[in-house]
Amino acid sequence: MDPRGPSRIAYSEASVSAHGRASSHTLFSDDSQALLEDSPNGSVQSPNYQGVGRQNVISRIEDIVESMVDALSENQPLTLPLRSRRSGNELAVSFPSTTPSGVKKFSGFCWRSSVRFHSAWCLTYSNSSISCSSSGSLSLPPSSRFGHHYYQKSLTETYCRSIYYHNPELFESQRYVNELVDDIAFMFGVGRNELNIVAASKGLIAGQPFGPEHGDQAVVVPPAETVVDLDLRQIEWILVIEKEATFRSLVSLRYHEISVAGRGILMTAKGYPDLASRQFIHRIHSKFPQIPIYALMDFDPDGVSILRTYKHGSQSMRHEEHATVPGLLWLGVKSSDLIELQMRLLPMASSGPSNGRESQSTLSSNPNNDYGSSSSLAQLLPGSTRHGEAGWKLLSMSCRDRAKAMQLLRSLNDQVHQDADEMEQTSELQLMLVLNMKFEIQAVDQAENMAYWLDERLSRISGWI
Amino acid sequence: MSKQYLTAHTVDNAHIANIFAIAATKTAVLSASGSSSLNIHATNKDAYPLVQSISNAHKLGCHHLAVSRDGRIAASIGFAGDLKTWKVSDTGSGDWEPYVEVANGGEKNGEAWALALSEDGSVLATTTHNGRVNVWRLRDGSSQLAQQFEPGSVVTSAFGMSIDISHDGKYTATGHENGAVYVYNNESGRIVYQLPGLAKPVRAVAFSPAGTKLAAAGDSMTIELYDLQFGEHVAQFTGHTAWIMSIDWSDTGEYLLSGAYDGKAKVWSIDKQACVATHSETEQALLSVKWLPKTGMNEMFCTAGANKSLTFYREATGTA
Repeated sequence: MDPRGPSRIAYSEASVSAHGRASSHTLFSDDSQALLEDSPNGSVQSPNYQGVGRQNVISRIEDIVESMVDALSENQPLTLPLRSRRSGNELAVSFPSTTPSGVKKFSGFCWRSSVRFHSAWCLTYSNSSISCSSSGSLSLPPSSRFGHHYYQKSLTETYCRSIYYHNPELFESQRYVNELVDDIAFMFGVGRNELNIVAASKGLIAGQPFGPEHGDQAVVVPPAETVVDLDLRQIEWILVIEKEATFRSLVSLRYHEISVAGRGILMTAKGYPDLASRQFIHRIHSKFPQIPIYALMDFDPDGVSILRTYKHGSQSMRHEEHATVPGLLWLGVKSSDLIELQMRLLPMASSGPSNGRESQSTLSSNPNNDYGSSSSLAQLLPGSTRHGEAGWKLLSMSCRDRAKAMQLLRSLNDQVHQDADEMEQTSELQLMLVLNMKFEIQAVDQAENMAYWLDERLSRISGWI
Repeated sequence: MSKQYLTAHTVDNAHIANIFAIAATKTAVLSASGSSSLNIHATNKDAYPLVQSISNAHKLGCHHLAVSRDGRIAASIGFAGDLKTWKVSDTGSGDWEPYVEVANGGEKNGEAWALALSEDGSVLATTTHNGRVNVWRLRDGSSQLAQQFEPGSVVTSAFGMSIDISHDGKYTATGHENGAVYVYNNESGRIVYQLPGLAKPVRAVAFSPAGTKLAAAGDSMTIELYDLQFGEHVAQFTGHTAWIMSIDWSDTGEYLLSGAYDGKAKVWSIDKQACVATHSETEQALLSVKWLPKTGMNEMFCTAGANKSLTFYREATGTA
């Protein structure tokens, strides 16, 4: 159980009570219709297409607020409908819980969620102590003093981060705010955007028309809405890269300009992709379906999981629409690439003893061995000895890796009908387990070699060889 | 002197996924793959037809499969950690059917990895992720955990990647991810030998038919040969240029068969301490190679792996 829970309840209760009672007589003096009329049409921050959903959310929040105020005025416990993001089940959570059955409801996840929800309630409901423009503030009618301010504010998007900074003491962490926002969005079955809350993207992108900015080739992934205005006629391919280091080294080489596959765009979301990056790449794929989007991931369970997150979204964020790219193509690294690598492992055969569980095969090459493949993955290896640092690493799978692989295998197996991509993912995960090996891309020094390899892969796929 | 082997037949797409393990009886090859079914192809009929498919044997696919030398008992482990045993039906149909339940020996699901069966199928041994070994006695209707070799000061907790039981069922050998090779006495539960390792993951260990030698191979790309009388390292076979995924002794103990991740299969003469044949029908990984028990004049072996096919080879010399 979260030891921070009770204090949060107290805090929430206090603010809900205070503002609930104080403003109850004016709470519904205004309605959402008036609010919508005031909204500047076509503003970039709140696109029109979201209007209907948002209005629906506003009225549903108002219903809840109304029932809460009623409950408060009748001195009844507050009851909130709550849906679990894990199971999707709806629960009614009471607060404070006075009956034994109510106490039960507070156990486990339900309890934690209710604590969260009351904090969230603060977030959405109290309009003076925490000034933020989440869904709740939209529903709140203007009191004479704050009214205009809130109208304005509610119509522009708010960053999760700024919500957190409105009351860091209450929320304690940015992550907590993110979860609250997702909980609320999930409860209403809408996306974050419709709550007017966005997270700043952590993703980076390079290639025209993005950047350079301040001399840096890579820029932060822009909001998905801006895709409408993009001109990508020159772009032949897009490469989504798992690791920032790999991305940076390719950017510094200007691979997006010099690739034999033509002009391209490089992008990374630094590991598991955030919602904003996924929405952006989704929008690109919808608007420019002719541009192939490739994924360059590590050969490990997280690599497959990240690939699947781009393609199909994540379980806990399934209420978010327009955030998947089912057509994403898996470029590598795959088990078949390991064969080339082993050719270069040969000189290592008589090396000293490995260091137990953490045994790694640092890849090095023997200058006397010429395998004649000028553009192969194996070409990456000479750099590793030259620079005295391994760029590509074969590692044994940790217990966590194995557990992750099995979890992915189970979820893939639960698919009613596996498509060819899912069969490939299954097969690669099984091979990781059988080999007990993962292969991480850490190519910082070997950008040129990586570029050769990408050239070869991209042109093979597009049928130019 | 080299030996000639010819491709006798290839069963294309014997499975819809990578074939991780094969096991041979006198009349059939059993195969396990990334799909949920175990397949049985007859080796005593033309074109090696599929004679039985045990569907839903392992929901998430199967990575290890072994059959007793007498061809009566088989055992398999799936990616969910599910351990199953099978036997040839008493009805005379020749079909395989479920045999005894093996409680997972107190191990959590997913911990059982490699497995081996004794000659008559009465002893079953499995490795675990943390380097333990469990040995069961199988009888009709029941299974009993006979030995559990715990990781201790001597045994490391490195992943047990490979295992074999001597033909007489007295000894168990294991190959580990850190390169260690151990030989245990199944009766006493003690370690007999802790053999000088390969320094790299040991993906295959195999007792010679007479039980006098042990071969071990893996990511070092070499096969190491140990004499079991005194636990000495007696030979090293070099020539593979990729991880060795699987090895098997011929019936007579004269030859070793090996399969590597680059798709190459090699036959090694123990006497000559040299490779006498190399085959590369595929550039895709070989994951399991097995001699077929000798029934005629010709030696035969079978290879399988990432090309999802079963390839049968026959010795070219000495016509039938």
